[in-house]
Amino acid sequence: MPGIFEPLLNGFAIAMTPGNFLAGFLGVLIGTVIGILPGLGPTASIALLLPATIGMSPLSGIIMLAGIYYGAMYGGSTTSILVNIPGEAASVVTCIDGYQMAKQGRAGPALGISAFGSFIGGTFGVAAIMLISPLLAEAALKFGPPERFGLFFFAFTLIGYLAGKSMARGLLMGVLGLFLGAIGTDDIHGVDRFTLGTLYLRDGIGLVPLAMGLFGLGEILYNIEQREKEVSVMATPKDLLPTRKDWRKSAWPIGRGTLLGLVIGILPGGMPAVSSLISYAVEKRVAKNPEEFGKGAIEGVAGPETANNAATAGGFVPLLTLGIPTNSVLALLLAALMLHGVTPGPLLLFKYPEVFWGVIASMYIGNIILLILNLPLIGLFVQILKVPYSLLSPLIIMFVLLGAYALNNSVTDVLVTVLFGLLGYIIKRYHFEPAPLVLAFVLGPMMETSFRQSLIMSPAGSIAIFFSRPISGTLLAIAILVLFLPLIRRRLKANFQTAG
Amino acid sequence: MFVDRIAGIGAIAGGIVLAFFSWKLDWGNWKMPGPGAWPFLLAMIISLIGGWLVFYPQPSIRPSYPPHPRWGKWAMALGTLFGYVFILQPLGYLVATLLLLFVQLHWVEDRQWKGSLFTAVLGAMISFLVFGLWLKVMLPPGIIPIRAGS
Repeated sequence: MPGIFEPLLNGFAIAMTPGNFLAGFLGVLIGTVIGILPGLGPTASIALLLPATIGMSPLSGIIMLAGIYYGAMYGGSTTSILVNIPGEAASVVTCIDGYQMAKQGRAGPALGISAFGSFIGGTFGVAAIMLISPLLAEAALKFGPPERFGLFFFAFTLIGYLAGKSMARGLLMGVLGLFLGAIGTDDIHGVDRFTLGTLYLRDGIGLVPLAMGLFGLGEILYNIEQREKEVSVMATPKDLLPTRKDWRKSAWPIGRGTLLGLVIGILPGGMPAVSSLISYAVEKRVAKNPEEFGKGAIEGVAGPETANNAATAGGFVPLLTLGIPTNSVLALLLAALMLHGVTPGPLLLFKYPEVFWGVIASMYIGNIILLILNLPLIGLFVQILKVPYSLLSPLIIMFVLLGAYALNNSVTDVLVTVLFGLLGYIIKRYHFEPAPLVLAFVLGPMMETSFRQSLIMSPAGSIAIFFSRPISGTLLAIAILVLFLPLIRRRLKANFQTAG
Repeated sequence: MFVDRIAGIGAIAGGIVLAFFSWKLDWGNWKMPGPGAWPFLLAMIISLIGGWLVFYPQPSIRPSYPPHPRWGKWAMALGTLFGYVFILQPLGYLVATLLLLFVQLHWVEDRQWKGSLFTAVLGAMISFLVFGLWLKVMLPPGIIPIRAGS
């Protein structure tokens, strides 16, 4: 423990400097507003603000972007409870009971328990990063190219498996992302790959235009086609503090949500949205009165809201120690770290301790700021919700296109953003998942490098090198098992049906 | 099921085309993989997943068709986005953004023309001031000779 406290105190000293504190404060505030507004999720927002952090110090930039991410998780519940529209994917289940509570005049306790649950989940999540990361980083230092490839392959498979309803669709999106990541000049041979003879594509497709198009413009185009009418917002709720009875009912769901969120957040593909869905299912199953779920059960708000914040924090463990982002927002944070010359991975903790511990400390501070902000400012957030979407969506479009241009002062970046916007619309319209595409796009170049390095170091250029080493062999075996899970399930189901 | 099958057929065909072009990039050998090796493997996997989607489509996933899809508005919004790409350089940031905002607000979002024009002018001006003059982004001047980012 003494090995943790000293660097953590240093981290607090760094995070409390005026510049870093302001960056963290702005990050959580922007994140909360983004979480409240439907139509611009944390991925598109971070993509939009990533170029703006270039002028900042690496630490301030990362603190701000991380703040946007977990701030959005806090803010997302507000729209779910007051309007029955999730501000972002992780708050979808909060609509079920949160909105019912609001209709019964209990919007205040719903928002209150959601803020407290988020705080508890987020804070324990940060404590877990602090405890697990050094151990994991130590172990990961022993990884060579085959182990790294095994880890990437395992992460990739799990992302495909957990991403949506269909594994085949998730994997297709993932492989498409890997392919898009391979476009550009080959690092080893210097040969242009799929550049269509253009100078622009030699550097590869930019992550920011890709993410802003898929998540920003894609969402807006989808909403333009689907929108029927503007939503009505409830009045500002009073009495935000949950009663003693509410606390009694919520204590266990918050505890279970924290644990569940942490475990799921650490797994590749374990997005906060997945953790909140599982938490809701668990709470309903263990509840004494499951029939109350869907009619305004506070447990249905407390558990999922805690879980998604714990998962948000948990996702930083593989990002900071292994360099593996577990969802699309973390993929952009990885890109942001690399843009600032900081390579995430096992060496981060040793080479850039100020970045690691500064971010950890800022997350503790950020969670406290969010708790303080969320409850008193609820009236302001309700006013923001009243801004009509028909006014917001053109302004969001303007900022997305402007952000794309500002990256390299290039109209081609704007064109690429629009093209990915169209792809994002098609993906959303036909229930494919954009997250595996973005994740694989980021992991792709690293995965290819470790694949080729492994083959070069193998005795006769044999793929046996991946299976002959214990760590990579085990990871690949688990990944292959995951790949065949749908087939195994189908067979088992058929056997059970035959057996009557 | 229909979407899965269409996507599957597209993936098989796309995968084969990509595999062909990857092969032409030089496969190398197993000891020293060439620049085409990784894309070739990925293209083959794309085709394989395409086959999976064609032969084992998921019956439960159906696209959500809205009761009254706003196709006209959607096409106009998309057209404006592509149009913006082509007018940004010649007309400049201020004029192109003003037009983009006005079309989106008035024709796509059905807001009144006076309010739309006011919001469009205000939005274009404020974003120009913040990004062009304050953050020094080199926004294209076009027909209005105010040079940003310098």
